[in-house]
Amino acid sequence: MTILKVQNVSKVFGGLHAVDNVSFEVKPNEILSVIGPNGAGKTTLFNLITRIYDLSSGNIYFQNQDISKVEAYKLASMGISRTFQNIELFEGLTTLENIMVGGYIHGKCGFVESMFGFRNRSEDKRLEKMAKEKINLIGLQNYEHSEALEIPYGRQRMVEVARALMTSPKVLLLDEPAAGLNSVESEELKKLLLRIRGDGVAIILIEHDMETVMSVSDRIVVMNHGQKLAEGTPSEIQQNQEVIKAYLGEEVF
Amino acid sequence: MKTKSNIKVLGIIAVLVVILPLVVQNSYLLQIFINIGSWTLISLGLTILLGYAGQISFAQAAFMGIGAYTAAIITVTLHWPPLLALITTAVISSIMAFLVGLPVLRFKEHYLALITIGFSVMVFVLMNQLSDITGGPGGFIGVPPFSIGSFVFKGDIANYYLIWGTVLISIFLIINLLSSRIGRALETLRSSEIAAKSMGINTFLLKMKVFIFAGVLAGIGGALYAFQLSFIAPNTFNVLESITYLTIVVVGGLRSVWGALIGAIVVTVIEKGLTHLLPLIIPDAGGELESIAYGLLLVLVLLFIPDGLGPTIAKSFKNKRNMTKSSKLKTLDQSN
Repeated sequence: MTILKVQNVSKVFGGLHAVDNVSFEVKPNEILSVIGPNGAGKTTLFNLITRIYDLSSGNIYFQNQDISKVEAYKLASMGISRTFQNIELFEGLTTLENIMVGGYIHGKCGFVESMFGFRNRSEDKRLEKMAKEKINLIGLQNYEHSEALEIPYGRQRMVEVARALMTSPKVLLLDEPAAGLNSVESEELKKLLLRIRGDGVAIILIEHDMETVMSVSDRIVVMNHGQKLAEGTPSEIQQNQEVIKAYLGEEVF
Repeated sequence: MKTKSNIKVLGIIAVLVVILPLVVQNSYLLQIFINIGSWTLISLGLTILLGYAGQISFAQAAFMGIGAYTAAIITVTLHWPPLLALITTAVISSIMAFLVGLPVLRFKEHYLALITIGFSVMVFVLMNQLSDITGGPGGFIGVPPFSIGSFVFKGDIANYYLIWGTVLISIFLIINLLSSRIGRALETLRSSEIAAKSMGINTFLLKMKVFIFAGVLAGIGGALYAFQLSFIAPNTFNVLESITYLTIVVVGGLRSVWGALIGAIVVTVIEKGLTHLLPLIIPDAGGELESIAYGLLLVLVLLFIPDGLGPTIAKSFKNKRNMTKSSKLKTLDQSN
C-alpha cells in the first residue's frame, strides 16, 4: 500500500540540480523523515510535491493519481497539506482565524453568496468549532485571539501545524516543525506527531533535530546534494557509512 | 462581533444620510455630498482590492469612465431605459475587468499596477478619439436622469438618495463579504500566496473576483455620475484621477470598510478648503500651488497616520472603551 509515490523526480534551477532523480514511497500510517545537510534539496522536494514548483522531470503519484501537473490549490482538497520552514502565517489574522483559513475547503459560501450573508454565520460557527478542536489538540488556547505573527516563534510553528490539520489531510508535510522549540515543546511535538499518525495520516517530516527524527520515524530518507543517499529504518540509517560520511565529511585515512 | 458593530455603524450612517438633506438645503453643499458619495462608491472596491487583497489598480477612473459612457451611449444613442443601461454597465465593466485581469493576476508581482495604467491611457485615448460615438474631447451631452419605471430621479435630492443608497448597500455587502470565509481568504493574498494555495484557495480566481467587483462598483459609480450630471467628458476619467481614488483609500485607511467613506470626506474637505483658503493667504495663488498644498497634506497624513484615519479612529475608540472597562474593574476590586 502506497499513498504517495515520488518517481525519478528532478528540479533544475539554472545549472543547479537542486533535486536529482529522487524516488521514494510513503505508506499510509507512517512517519517518513527526510534528512540531510543544509542545501540537500529537502525543502525543494517539498515544494515539488506541493506543486509550488514545477517538476523538471519525473512524476508524483498521490493515491495512484498523477499529480505532477495538478494546480497547487487543488491538493488541499485531495488530501495533501503542509507547513513551511519560513513561517507563512497570515498577517493581520488571529491564531484562530489563521487556523480557520485551513478550513477554507470545507466551506461552501461563494463570493457573491457571502455578500448577502445568509449562511456566513452558520458556516463560520462550524469552522470555528473545528479550529477550536485543533487549538485544544495542540495546546494553543492561550494564543487563540492573539495575532498569530505576534506569538512566540515555537507556537507559530504549531499554528502552522494546526492550520494544515484543518484541511483534514491524508498526507501531511511538515518542514522543520521542531525548529525553535524548547525541550518541553519538542516532547509535546513528538507526542502530537504520533497521535496524528494514529489518526491515519501519513507524515513526511523534514527535521534537523535528530532526537525527534530517530524517535518518531518509521523510515528515513537521507538526501545529499539533491540526491537520495540512503533509505531505511532509523537504526539502519544510523549505521549507514555513506550517511555518516555525508554528515561528518570525507574520512581522512 | 466586528461585523455586528460595523452593521451598527452602518445603521447610524444610514440615519444621518437620510436626515442630512432635510437639514442642509443649500444646493452647493448638497452637490458636495453627492460628490463624496460618488467618490466613496468608486473607491470602495479599491479598499478590498488594495487593502485586503494587496493588489494595486490604477484603473478605477477608467472603469468609472466606461460606466459613464456605456450608460450615456445606451440611453441616448440606443434609447434603452436607464435601469437596463445600469445593468448593462455592470456587465460591460465586469467583462472589461476580466480581460484586463486575465493576463496578469496569475502573478504576485505588481503587474496589475502596470497593466491598469496602460489600460487607463487606452480608455482615455478612445474616449477622445472615437468622437462619433463618445462626442470626443468636447464630451457627451444630454444623458437622461436615472429612472425606474415611471419614477425619475430628477434634481439634487433624488440623486443624492440614489447615490448614497447605492453606497450604503455596497458597504453592507462588503461588510458581509469580509466577515465570511471568503473575507479571510482575501486577507491571505496580502501576506502569503503560497500558503493560501496550500490551504486550497484558488488565488487567481479570488483576485479576479475582487478585481471585477471593484470594476463593477466603479462602473456603476460612473453610470450614476452620468445620470446625475447629464454631461460627461473624458478628462474626468483620466488616469490621474485614479490617483485621487488611491489617495482616498490610503488616507481613509486601507484595512477598514470605512476607509473609502472617511477618505472621500477628508479629501473633499481638504480640496474645497484649499480652494477657499489659499487665495486668502496668497492672493495670486494659482492652481499649481493648490496641488502642492494638497500633496503636502497627503504626505503628512502618510507620515503620521500610516494606517489611515479609519483604523486609527477605531483604535482610539477601542482604547477608550478598554480604559473605562478597566477603571470599572478597579472600582469593583476596591469595593471588594
